[in-house]
Amino acid sequence: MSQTSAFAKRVLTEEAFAYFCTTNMRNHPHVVPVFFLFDPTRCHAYFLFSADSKKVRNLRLRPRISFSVDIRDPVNPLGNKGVMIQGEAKAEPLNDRDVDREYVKHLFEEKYGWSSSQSFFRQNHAERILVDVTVRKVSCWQGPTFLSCPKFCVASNRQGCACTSSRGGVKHSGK
Amino acid sequence: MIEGRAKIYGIFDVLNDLGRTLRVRALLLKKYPKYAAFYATKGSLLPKPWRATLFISRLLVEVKIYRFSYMREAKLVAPGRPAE
Repeated sequence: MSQTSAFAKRVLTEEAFAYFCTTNMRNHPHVVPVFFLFDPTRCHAYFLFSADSKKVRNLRLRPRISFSVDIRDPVNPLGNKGVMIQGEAKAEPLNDRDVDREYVKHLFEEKYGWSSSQSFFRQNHAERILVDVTVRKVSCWQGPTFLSCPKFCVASNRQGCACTSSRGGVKHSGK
Repeated sequence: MIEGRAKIYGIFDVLNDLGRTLRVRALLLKKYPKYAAFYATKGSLLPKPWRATLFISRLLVEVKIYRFSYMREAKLVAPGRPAE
């Protein structure tokens, strides 16, 4: 795995908030900070939203979404880092038979430390929607360097994966 | 969350409203003093697209806000429109 892929994986698994963007039928963007999970083994991201929220209404109409997660340096702009994901979202009610509720619950509690009484699961499952994002594109930046990584770079440890720089097409091969 | 309409300032927009452009610059310097110090002393370390030179590296974008949404915890507090 290249250093950039490892960085992207770390940001996506450790950082607490993502800025989640959907668009409505009139192409108006809607961006909100949300909790999220990234499962690097499946290269999917998960979100829990209220069933009647605007973002759920939007992504049912237009499933192409993006979200970004970043780390900011308040002094040195070269220290800013982040990852932007583009993908396709699928909304599934938590009481849907196909949803592995316990698996998602376990992942959320592991990341955020919610106890069962504090977690989103305290609410009626019919009111909660699990949004499953299939990752299509991963873009990373570290200081002035922007890289576009094929999704498997983040999802796997296999050898030889490559990230392409948006500046000059430089390739960073995995070690 | 803020919703609005974005306008990219061209050279003529800047010249027509130089006072506003200078005010935006002053606000940026006031809001980001540490970045401003970095740009002033180590700006040459930055790649060209990141330098603060208007039109050569950066474009000024104004967003005319038409809606604010406030949120606290996981609830929308009150949607509102900016005062005229």
